[in-house]
Amino acid sequence: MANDVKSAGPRFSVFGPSGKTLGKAVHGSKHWWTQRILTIIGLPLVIFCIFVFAYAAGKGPGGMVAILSKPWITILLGLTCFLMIAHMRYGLQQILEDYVPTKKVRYTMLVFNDAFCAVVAIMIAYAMVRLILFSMMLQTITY
Amino acid sequence: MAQAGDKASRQRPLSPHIQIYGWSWTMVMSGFHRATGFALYFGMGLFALWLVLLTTPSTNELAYWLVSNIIGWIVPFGFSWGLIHHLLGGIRHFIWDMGKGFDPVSRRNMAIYTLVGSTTLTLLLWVVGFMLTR
Repeated sequence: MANDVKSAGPRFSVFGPSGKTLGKAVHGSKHWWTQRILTIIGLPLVIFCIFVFAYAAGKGPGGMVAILSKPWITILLGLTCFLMIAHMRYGLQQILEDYVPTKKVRYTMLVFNDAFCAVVAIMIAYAMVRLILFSMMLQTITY
Repeated sequence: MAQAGDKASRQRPLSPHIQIYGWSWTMVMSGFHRATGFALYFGMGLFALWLVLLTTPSTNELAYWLVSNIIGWIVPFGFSWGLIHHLLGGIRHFIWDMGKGFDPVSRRNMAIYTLVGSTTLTLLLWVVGFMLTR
């Protein structure tokens, strides 16, 4: 009788064979909130950046840099990019957790995700430094 | 009795097999949201790379040349459409997060407006952008 009850249990459930749940309980809701907050702040910033690039398009190679190197544009563009990098890191993490069933492969890909986002962040940081240097060159600094 | 049984069996819901699945707007737009997000992930990498080229003095003109011809417009155009589509899809998800727009008519309309809105806004952005630069 006891054996019958045991075998009649659900074949598929969120509980694994050892009774452990899949994934961590706290991290999911943290990611959910982070993703929402990043989007709320990012939404007006992305719209701003779309207009900046639409305005800068066709202004020539030097003209584009001149527009992007205006301090307030550089700051807002940099902020937007870093919010987007955080957003896309969580986004791809969700995709990987949904579609990659093998733990080893998934964990490896999650590391590649972090690495890719880090590389993109470094490239954005480099571009921001370049824009700041450009705007500094245009003015004589006196305090 | 037999006729009643047949009638009951006819009213049963059919198994949604992948090839005869009735595609709905919300289902397709859900896929579009994830697909645009996935494409934007790599698009952001290209954007960062292009921004590095643009801000580096020796490659500044190369970066500008890359997006100054019809072939060069394909990637930025696709990126802008994906961005606007994902943005509108995000607003749709916000409305749902607030517990609104769950009725069949609203969610279907919102899904249609996401696609129509993103396509219209992207075309508008590029057409107005070209008119202002010329």
